[in-house]
Amino acid sequence: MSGRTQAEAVHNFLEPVREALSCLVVPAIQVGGGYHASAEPHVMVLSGGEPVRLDGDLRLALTVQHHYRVVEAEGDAGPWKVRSAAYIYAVDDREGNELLSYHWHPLTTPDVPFAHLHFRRPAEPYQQLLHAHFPTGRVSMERLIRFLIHELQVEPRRDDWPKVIERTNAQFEEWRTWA
Amino acid sequence: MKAEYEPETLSEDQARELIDRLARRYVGISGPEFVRRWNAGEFDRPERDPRLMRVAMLLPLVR
Repeated sequence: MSGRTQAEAVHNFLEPVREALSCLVVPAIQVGGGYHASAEPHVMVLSGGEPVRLDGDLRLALTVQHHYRVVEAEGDAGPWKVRSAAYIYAVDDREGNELLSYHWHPLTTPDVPFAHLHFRRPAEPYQQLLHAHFPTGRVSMERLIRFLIHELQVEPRRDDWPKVIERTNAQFEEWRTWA
Repeated sequence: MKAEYEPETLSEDQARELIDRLARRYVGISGPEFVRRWNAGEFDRPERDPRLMRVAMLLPLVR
C-alpha cells in the first residue's frame, strides 16, 4: 500500500489488515512505532502477539505477527509504500498447542528463507514431518481467514465477511511484489 | 472502523514488557535472557520450535 507520506503508507497498509481481522476477532493491533522508513523492520501484532480465541466449536486461537518496512515506492505509486518483511500466522487448538502455522521469516531464520507451512499433527508413520517446512506461496491473512471459516468452522464476527476479505485481498494482491 | 480499533503504538517499555511476557509464557525465561540467548546463537535450530519463533518475531521491537 502506498501513501504520500510514510505515515500515510503505513495507515493504508494497516487499515485493510484491521478490517480483514475484524471478520474473526476484535482487531486490536499494536505496532512498534513503525511509521517511518528504517533499516530494521517494524513489528505489527494482534493483541500483543498472544493467541486470540476464535468463535466456533473447536475453540481455536489465532496469533498474528507481521514485519514490514516503509520504502520509497517505484513508478507512479507512492512516494512511499509498505513492504512486508515477515509473517507468522498461527492457529492453536483448545489446549493452546499449535495446530498449524504459516510462516515467512527470511531474516530471522536465513536457513529457511521461503514461505512455508507447519502442520503439527502428523500421524504415524509421518512423525518426522512434525518440524517440516512445507513450501507454500505467499499466504495472505485473507486466505487464512477464509480457510478458518470454511475448513475449521470458525464462526465469523460479521455477516459481510466474504465481501470484506474479497476487497482487502484484492488490495493485497494489487500491491504485493511477490507471490 | 471504530476509533477504539486504531492501532496502538508501543513504547519501548511496553515492547520490552511484551517480549518478557511472551518469553516467559512460551520459553519459561525472561525477555532479557531470551534476547541474550538468541543473539548468542544458543537456541538450537529455533525454526523447529514454534514457541521460540513467536518470541523471536518480536525482537525488532527492541533493536
